[in-house]
Amino acid sequence: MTESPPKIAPTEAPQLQHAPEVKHKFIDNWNRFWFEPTSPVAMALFRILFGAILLENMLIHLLPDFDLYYGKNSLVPIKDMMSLYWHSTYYFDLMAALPDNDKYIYGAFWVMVAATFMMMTGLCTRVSSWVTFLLLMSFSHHFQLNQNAGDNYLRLATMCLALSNAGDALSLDNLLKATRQDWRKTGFGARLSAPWAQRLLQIQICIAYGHTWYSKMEGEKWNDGTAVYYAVRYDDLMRFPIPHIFDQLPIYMLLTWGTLAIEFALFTFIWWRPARYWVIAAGISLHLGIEYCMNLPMFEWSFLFTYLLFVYPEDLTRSWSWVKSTIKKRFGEPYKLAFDGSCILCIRTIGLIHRLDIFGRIRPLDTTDHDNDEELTNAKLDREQAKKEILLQKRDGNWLGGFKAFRFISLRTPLLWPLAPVLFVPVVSFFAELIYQAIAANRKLILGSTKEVAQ
Amino acid sequence: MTGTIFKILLIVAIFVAVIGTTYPKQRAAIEEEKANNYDNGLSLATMRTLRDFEATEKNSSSTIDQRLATGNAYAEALTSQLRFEEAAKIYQDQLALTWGLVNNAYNQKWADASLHLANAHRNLDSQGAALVCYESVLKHDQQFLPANDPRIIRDLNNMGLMHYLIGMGKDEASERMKEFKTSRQYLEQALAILDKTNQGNTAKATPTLWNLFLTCRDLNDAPAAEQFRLRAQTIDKSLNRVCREP
Repeated sequence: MTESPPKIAPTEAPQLQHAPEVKHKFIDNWNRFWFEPTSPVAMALFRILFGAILLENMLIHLLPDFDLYYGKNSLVPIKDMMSLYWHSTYYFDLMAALPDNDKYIYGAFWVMVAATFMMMTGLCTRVSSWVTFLLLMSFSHHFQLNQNAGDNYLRLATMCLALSNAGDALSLDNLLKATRQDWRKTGFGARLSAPWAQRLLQIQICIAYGHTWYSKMEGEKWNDGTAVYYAVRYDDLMRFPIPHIFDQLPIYMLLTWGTLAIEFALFTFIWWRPARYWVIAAGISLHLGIEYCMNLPMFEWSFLFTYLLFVYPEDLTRSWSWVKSTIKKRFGEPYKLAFDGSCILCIRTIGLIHRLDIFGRIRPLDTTDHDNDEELTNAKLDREQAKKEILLQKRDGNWLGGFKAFRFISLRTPLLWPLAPVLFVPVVSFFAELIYQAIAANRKLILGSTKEVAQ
Repeated sequence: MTGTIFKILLIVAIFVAVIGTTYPKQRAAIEEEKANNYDNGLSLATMRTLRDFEATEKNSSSTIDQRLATGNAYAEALTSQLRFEEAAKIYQDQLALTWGLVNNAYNQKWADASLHLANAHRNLDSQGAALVCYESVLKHDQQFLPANDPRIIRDLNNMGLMHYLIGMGKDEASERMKEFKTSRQYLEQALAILDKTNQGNTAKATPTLWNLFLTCRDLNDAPAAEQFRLRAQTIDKSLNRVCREP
């Protein structure tokens, strides 16, 4: 029988046992950061505002000089751009793959504008944002001399939008999808999804601030406190001069070092929850200050709108609830809208109206839901009439039915305001009333009853 | 999962298709640019002329004309590349090569080499050295050519222009005026020969007239300057040449 060697107790046993825990915690945090399902509302808001910036950039800044940059007789034709700037690097340029004719370049531009508009409104969001990104990238490669850091950021942000689920909220896609669902079962909340594309954008903006901060720290004028003095006097970019009373060295020192402090906070303390909104407020003041002094088209706003991605979803909800309650205090209780809960068409229509009613001015009440019986009886609802059409109660207690109810709603729902004047045109209202009655009379034949509601 | 893979493959396919279509165009553009690039063209021309020049120099049986021709071609290529000092060196060597070719008679090859060297010195902003070269050519031409020869007009014009340029670089007004006066003398001599040979109202006279206009203007002799300007403009108008006043 052989003697086994004596067992030596591991001296660092507690640490070794601790290591997997740390690793496990790190992986948990990592997964939570990138993949824990989150509301897409912040990303959707960013999509809308960012889309507006892109459209402004295309139609106001690019279009007037389009021929100069991209036409057949541009400053640097594509052939020279390839040989002198592209060299042997692989570049993605959709227009270079097309025949060499201005009509294709213009065609690509208008496709990009249309795709951007669709992305902004959230129509076929995924496809439209990819088209926008690919064309934006193509145009930036087609003529590289009109590009600056702002354009690079627009391109990167569009790529992240294309990768994200920004179309899952505040979008036409979502609206159209909702018309096929029973909101009483799915609710009105946006579908939660992994926010990794949103995180990419957050990290991207932190990299931008980190890089600019580091570069400035290496500069002499940023350290001696005079950099802002020179920056606000740069003729090519000057917008409004600094008011005379602030045109003093101590103020410039404060602004210069303040810029460094804010930019430092924007890639560090912004990740610390208690400091986040203070840092964002400082960032907003910094960018608005730059916007006042310097004319950097779309640059400040694209950064400012990215701050939206740092707002916690619960704070976004709370903020919007505050807006709604303020409106309620100012304009009174929401209007009651009674509908037949056994009719799919009614349910979908009400769901659509509710989604468009962003300020919560309409309160749908299902006439088939017994919980609403008392309230509807007190409101003197004609139940027979409610089976035929939707009914909306005005402030004087009278009920408006069908098309007239919808027209009334359109005046109180900002997203329907573009439609409202049309609904008051006599001929339109006459035919709309007829169409409404025809559809209402056959509504159960069109989509059936609630048993067949799609999920 | 399948949907995601399909989407990724679709994006990759779009990238491959677009880059695959554009890359041959890109290569063709790069090749075309290489072939037509001005700087590349100059470099190629310089290398080619250098090769010929060195071959001629090494070849003991090559004639002086061949050596001058290849030297001129190489020096011109160097001048196009703004390598004036190297060009001047070649012309300097040509002076030594051509000096003893003709005894007591007109030496065209030496005169040409001197003029090339003068131009190289002008390019190098060595106006004093250029003036010496022009002057030696003028003396040589005056010694062996008829008094009314067009080459003497050319030399006088060169001398006038050089004195004017040297005067422009002087800070002292008195020194400047001295150079301008000398310039005027040379130019008026050139004009006198032109008038004498009935070329005073032809295109051959306009460089001299315009140079005289400048010199007289800077000598504060406005009436004379105006007279030369009018003469020069009249010739230019008669030839339908749009010539803006300097």
